Amino acid sequence: MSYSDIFSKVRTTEEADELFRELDTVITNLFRVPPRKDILAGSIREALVKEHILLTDHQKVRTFLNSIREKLHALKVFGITLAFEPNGKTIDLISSWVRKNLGPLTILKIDVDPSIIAGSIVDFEGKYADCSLRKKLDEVFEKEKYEISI
Amino acid sequence: MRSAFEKHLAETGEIGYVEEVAHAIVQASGLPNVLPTELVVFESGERGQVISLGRERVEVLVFSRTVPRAGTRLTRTDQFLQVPVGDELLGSTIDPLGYSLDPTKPIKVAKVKRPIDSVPSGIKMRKRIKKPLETGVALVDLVVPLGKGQRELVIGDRKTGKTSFLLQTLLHQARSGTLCIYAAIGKKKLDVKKVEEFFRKHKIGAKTIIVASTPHDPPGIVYLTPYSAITIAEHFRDLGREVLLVLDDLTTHAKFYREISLLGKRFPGRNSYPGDIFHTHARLLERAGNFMGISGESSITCLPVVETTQGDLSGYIQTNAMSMTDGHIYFDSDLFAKGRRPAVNPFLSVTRVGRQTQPTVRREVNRELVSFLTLFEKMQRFIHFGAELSETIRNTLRTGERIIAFFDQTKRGAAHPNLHVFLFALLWIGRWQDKPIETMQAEMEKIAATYEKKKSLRILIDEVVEKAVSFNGLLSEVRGRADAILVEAGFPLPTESGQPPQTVASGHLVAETPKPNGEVLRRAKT
Repeated sequence: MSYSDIFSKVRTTEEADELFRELDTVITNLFRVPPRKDILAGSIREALVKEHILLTDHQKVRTFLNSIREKLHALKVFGITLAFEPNGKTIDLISSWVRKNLGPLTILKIDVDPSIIAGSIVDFEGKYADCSLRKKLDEVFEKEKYEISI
Repeated sequence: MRSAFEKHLAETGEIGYVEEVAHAIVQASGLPNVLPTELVVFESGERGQVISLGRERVEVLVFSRTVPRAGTRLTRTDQFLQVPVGDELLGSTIDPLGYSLDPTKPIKVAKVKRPIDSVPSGIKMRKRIKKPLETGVALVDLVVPLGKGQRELVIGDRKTGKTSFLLQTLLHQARSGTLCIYAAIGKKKLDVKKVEEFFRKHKIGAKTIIVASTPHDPPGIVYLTPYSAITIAEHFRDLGREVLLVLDDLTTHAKFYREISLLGKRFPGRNSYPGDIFHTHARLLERAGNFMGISGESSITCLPVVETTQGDLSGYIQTNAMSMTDGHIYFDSDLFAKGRRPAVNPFLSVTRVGRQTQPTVRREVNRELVSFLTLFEKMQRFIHFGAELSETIRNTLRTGERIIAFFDQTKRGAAHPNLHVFLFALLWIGRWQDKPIETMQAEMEKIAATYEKKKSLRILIDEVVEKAVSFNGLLSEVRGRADAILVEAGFPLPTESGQPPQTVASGHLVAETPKPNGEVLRRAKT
C-alpha cells in the first residue's frame, strides 16, 4: 500500500497529531449504526479511493486505517527550535529539505524560542546541535569577557 | 551561568526525551551513544544512571526524589558514577553519593573520587587470612572466631541483638585502630542517629564513617548504599589500613532491588526477585577479603546482615548470603527470649576461616568450649526427664550455667580476648563453682574494669595467656598465679589455709581437689 499521499501532507508533529485524532474518530465510528460517512476526512477518503477500498467494507477500512496509524508512530521526528513563528512557506521549505536529506518519513517538531536570537537548534535521532546566534555570542563573550569587563 | 544539563548537552551533543515514567525508572528515547551505567542529567536537574539499553529506549534509574515528567529532555554526561573518598569523610554521616546527611555539618570537598563499580582483585592479589578479628564479645571470639578479611554473615530475626553485637564489634575494632564503615541500608533516620550517638559517646567518630539511606529515599539511592560503602573501604585498604565494613542489612537491599527490577519490567523469579539478585550481592561481597597491595597487606572484613522471619534459615536471600560468605553468626530468637545475651546459637553458627587465625591456646579453648557446650546442651535435655542427677551431671550443669553467664557481657562490655581466655580459665578451674552466678559476674566485671585501667594487671594477664603453649599449660599457670593476679586486680589476699577452688569434673582436666570450706569463702569475701 502506498501512503505517500497521506504523509506528504503531514509535515509537522502538530499535523501528525491531528491526523491521529481523525483516524481515532473514524475508527471509533466505523461500526456505528447508522454509519457516519461525513466523518471521513478528505485525505483519508482520497487514500481509500486510491486503494480501491469500499467505504462499506468496514474490516478493510479499519485494517487500512490501523496500518496508517502504525506508520505514523514510526515517523522520525526532526526537532528544530527557531527564533520566530514560521509561516506555511517556511515550513514547506524546511520540510522538503529534511525529507530530501533525512528520508521521506521524517516530520518536523517546531519550537519557538526568541531568546536564541537567530539561527536554530536542531536535534534528530538523539543528536543535538546548537547553531543559534545566542550560542555564538555566548562563546564570544566567554573568550572576551576579561577585556569587556575592563 | 549554565546549568549542568546545558553544559553536558553542549559537550556531548546528544539529547534524549523521557517517554515513560514508572516511579524511579524512566524510559527515554534518543541518546544514541550512551553506555550502560553512564550518568545522565535531566533538564529539570535530576540525575540518573543508565541501567539498561534497549533498541529504541534507554532505561534510567533516577537518583532524585522528584521524578522527571514525560517529555523532559536529558543528556549524557560521559561520566560514570564516582564516590568521593578520603580522610575528609571520617567522622561524618553521608549518603551514597557522598553528601553529608546533616546540612549543619557540611563535609570538605574530597580531593579523590573513586568509581563505584570496580573489578574485584584477582586471585594473585589475595592473601591467606592470618590475623584474628577481635570483636570483644567472648562468645564470638572464643567459639565462632573471625579473621581479618573474612566475610561473616550476621543472621537472625529482628530484635535479637544483631545491631548491638555489631556496634560492640565496631567499637572494639575502632579502638584497636581499624577503620570502621557502617552502611545503613534503608534504615530509619532515628536508627542512624542512634548509631551516630553511640560512636560519639564512645569517642570513636574519627575512625568511623556512616553511609546511610532511609526507606523514603529513592530506590536508586538505597540500591547504591552498600556499593558506595565498599568503594570507600577499598580506598582505605589501598592506603594500607585495615577496614571493617558492616552492611546493615542486605534483605532490605534485596527488596529495593526487587522494586527497581519489577518497575523495569524484568521477569520476576523466585519470590519475585530478579534472576540476578545473587550476582547483585556476590559482586559486592567479592570485593572484601585480605589483599596484598602497594602499601602492603591489608584487608576489608565484611559483616553483612540478613534478617530472617521466624528463624527460617532456608529463605532465598538468606541462603544466597550464606553461600557467598565465609560463615555465619546466627542470632537465635528462642535464646533471646530465654534471656541469653548475646543470643548467638553456637551450634548453628559457622566460621570457615576464623580458626586458622587463632593462636594454639585459643584454638584449644575453642575445642573445649564447643565440646563442653554440646555436652551441656544434651544434659539440659536429659534433666527434663526428672531423673535423679549424679554429682558429675550437677557439676556439669553448674559449670554450663556459669559459662552462659560468662558469655553475657551486658554489664562487662567488650574486652580483649586475652582477658576472656583468662576469665574462662578461672571459671574452668572452678574458682566460681560454688559461688552464686551474680557474684561471679560481679567479680568478672571488676577484673575487666581493672584490666582496662591498670597496666600492670594487663601485662600480667597477657603474659600468662600468651606464654601458654597449650590449654592444660594455661590452666596450670592460672592455677599457680591466680591469687597474685587477683590481688593485682584488687581482690583481697586468700586465707592461709588457702585451699584452691574446686575443679570441674569434666574428664578433660587435672585431678579433682577438695572443696573449699564455707569459712574460707566467708573470709575471702570480707
